Amino acid sequence: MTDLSFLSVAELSAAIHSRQMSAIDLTTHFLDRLEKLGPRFNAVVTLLRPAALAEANERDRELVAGADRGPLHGIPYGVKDLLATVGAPTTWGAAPYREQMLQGDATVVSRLRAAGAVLCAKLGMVELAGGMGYNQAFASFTGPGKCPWDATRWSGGSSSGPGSAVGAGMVPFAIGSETWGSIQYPAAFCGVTGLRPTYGRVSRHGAMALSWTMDKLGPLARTAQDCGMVLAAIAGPDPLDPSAISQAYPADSSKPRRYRIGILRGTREKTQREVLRNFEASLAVLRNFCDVVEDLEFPDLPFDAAASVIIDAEAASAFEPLFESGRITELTAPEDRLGGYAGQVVLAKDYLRALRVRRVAAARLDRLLSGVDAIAAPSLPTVAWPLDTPFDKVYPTYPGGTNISGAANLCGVPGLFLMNGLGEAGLPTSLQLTGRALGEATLLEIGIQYQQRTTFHRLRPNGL
Amino acid sequence: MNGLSRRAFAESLAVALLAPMMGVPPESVRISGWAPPENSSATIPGALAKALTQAIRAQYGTRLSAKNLATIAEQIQSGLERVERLKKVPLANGDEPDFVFTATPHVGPPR
Repeated sequence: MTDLSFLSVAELSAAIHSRQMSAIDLTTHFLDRLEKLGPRFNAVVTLLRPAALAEANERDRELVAGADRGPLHGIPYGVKDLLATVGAPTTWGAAPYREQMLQGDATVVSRLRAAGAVLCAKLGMVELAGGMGYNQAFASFTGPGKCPWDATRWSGGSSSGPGSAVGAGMVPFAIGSETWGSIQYPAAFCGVTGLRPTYGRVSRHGAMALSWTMDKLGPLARTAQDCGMVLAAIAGPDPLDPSAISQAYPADSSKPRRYRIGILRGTREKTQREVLRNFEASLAVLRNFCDVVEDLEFPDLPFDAAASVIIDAEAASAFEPLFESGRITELTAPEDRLGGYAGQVVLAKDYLRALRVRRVAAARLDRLLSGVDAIAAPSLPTVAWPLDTPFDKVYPTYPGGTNISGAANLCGVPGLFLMNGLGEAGLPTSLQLTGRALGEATLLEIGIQYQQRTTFHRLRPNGL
Repeated sequence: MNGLSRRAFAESLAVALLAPMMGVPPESVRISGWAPPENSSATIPGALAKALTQAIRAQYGTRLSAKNLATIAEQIQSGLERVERLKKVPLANGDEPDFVFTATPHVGPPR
């Protein structure tokens, strides 16, 4: 086994279980990568070397004793620094919280520990998960997340550290979060596989709240298979999170069959040429095992407006102490210091209207999704954005076509993001698959079959 | 960019694309550190936005400049315009919010 850095979780797991590699060797390798490469990409907030080495040693002793915790036994990983972990600060990417010590582990962390995974680092993120409306990459007290394929480009946010750490081979997988786009963007920009689970599939206990009814936690990894392995470890009901759903994963355990993929009318509009080229090539691959249905009509409903009102109101409440104390002025991005005030005066009736509209919208979206196994689209209409350009000025001619992201996040349905080629400047492009609520297993099976027929998930950035 | 925030920009293109990048809504992008919007009728604060801005001023005014408050007023106006779009979705009296309280025994540390 030569270079471990870009092997999948499944491959590393096989190496550990066949005793070709010990957990301590593997953990040391990735700790060294995190230490060496983390600063280059602003990917690491806190390196957990002593704790990780102790855990890895224990995992090795267990294997020798015949105690196998499963496929993640001895696998190193990192978490976005909005998950509480015992013994380390949890900064939420924001200067006012840089010394914050929370009690107890987030449920996701304790479940991964129970599954044998070894936590190596708390990873960088956009301050407060972007909840104050940032408009630039320089919106974290640890610096802008940088893309492993070109450090002058943004890694995407707000799960910037998980994206760049997986993309640069610093960890085999990481846990990110998405309220609206925060797994999608880093997965697409960093050329990794990302899974946004169904809302409630994964407990949010111990995670920073931006929007209680829209926050989701999910894995970023090399492959769809890896994302499924991680999801299996972290999914499930949790008495500490009333929104965690009781259905077991995988509830819909998908058997190989011919799938039905839908394309929304207008999907291909205002998108970079290379992104479109790679999207069409992806569809050609999918047609080997899927029927592709074109020109589906996207419901004409104010999905994005409802999502905005909900996030504005919930974030205003979640972060009210930051406003009351005045420490909002310590945030890194100037626009974040003012961006949350409007949410403070969202009227209660308007928030409730948004929640009522969401129920109507979710039914309409489900009607659309129930006719297919997944909606396919480019994950994003462009490659990673230059670091130094405000978001509202970057690639203005490529805003993209019909966009399902707001609807999917409002209604809590899952999404899978898969690298599907290289575009402008040799940067990754990505394919997104959106499925019905609780349909992760189907999305992952489609992703696995796609990656069995392609090699993009095997590409690695130059010099890494 | 001018205060034609990402939100307004995205809306003007009828896409949500630019927003998510933020991990947050395309529409929820609010700009303050950048120059204020120019000729953007969409963000001219109406009477309600102005009144709500006064509520912000009453609570936090000691740390907000007039320019800050003007920016916040525009953001409030954008939010109110989103609510107007929500009002186009017919709702009956029985259409409940999807976030419903349930009474269950307490789990976790004492509160």
